[in-house]
Amino acid sequence: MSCENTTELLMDRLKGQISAADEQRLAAHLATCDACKTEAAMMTSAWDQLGELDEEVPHERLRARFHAGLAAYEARESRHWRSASSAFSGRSNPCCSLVSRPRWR
Amino acid sequence: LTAIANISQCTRQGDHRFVKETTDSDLMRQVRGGRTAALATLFERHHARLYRYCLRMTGNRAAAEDLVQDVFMKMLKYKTTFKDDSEFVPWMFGIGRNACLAHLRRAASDKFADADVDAQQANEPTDESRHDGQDELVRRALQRLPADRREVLVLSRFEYKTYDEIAKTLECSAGAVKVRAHRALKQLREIYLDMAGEGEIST
Repeated sequence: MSCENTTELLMDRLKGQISAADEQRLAAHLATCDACKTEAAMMTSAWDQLGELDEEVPHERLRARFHAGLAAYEARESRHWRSASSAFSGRSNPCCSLVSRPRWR
Repeated sequence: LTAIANISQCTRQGDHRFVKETTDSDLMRQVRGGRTAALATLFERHHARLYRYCLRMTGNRAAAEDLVQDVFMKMLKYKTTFKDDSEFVPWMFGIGRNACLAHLRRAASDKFADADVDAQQANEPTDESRHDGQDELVRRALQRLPADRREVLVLSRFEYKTYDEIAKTLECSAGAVKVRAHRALKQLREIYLDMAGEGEIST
């Protein structure tokens, strides 16, 4: 196996999705190539360190904000449908009422 | 009838087993069909994950919160783009990715942001006491990576289980994802060592 091929296999190994055959090929190459062995050790250490970053929990206000946004959307949609349905029936649409009924009596 | 009675009893008792059985994609199709309340379940299932992705992309908690809100509101606005064969998580990350990149572009076009973005983020009132110096340095090194490299690395390290899934999101081959993630990891290490060498670990 050439040095160029180690990149993809090493990334597979880091992700934990390397096949047994590929792991064997990678290990065999690393055993004979000091440059790749050093590179693999550095990449593994960086990958592990990155994985140690805390899993931050979002603030509670995010949930409140989402529910407010959802409620506002639902209110807008409901107004939209109410106005569409009254326009259809012609009951409270201002244009229809101007035509059908005098505004002042 | 007994089954219905059981379900209603479980719901009354706050047992959410029946809700959990509904897949993400089913829920999003309900949203698309007008039952927008189903989005609340999707929010509960995925907002923390999306928040962490946005936080890692922007390095800014306030921006990450704004982006999560923006993404969920966009799901309502663009609900009809969720097709019958769409998968929810990649769809969500697709919207999240565009929102993050747009945010980063806006930040970069800001006359202060371009050069001072690191200093700005470093000066944010983050909860430093929760993290040791090394974690903070890794976090800041991540922010110094070019956005496209940061993205492929964040997706590879944290968000997806396989390179094939990332390849779908980034619209490239799995091989290309691995090569790009490798390059990004290498650069991250170099940035980290530079910063550590400059004594930034103590700042």
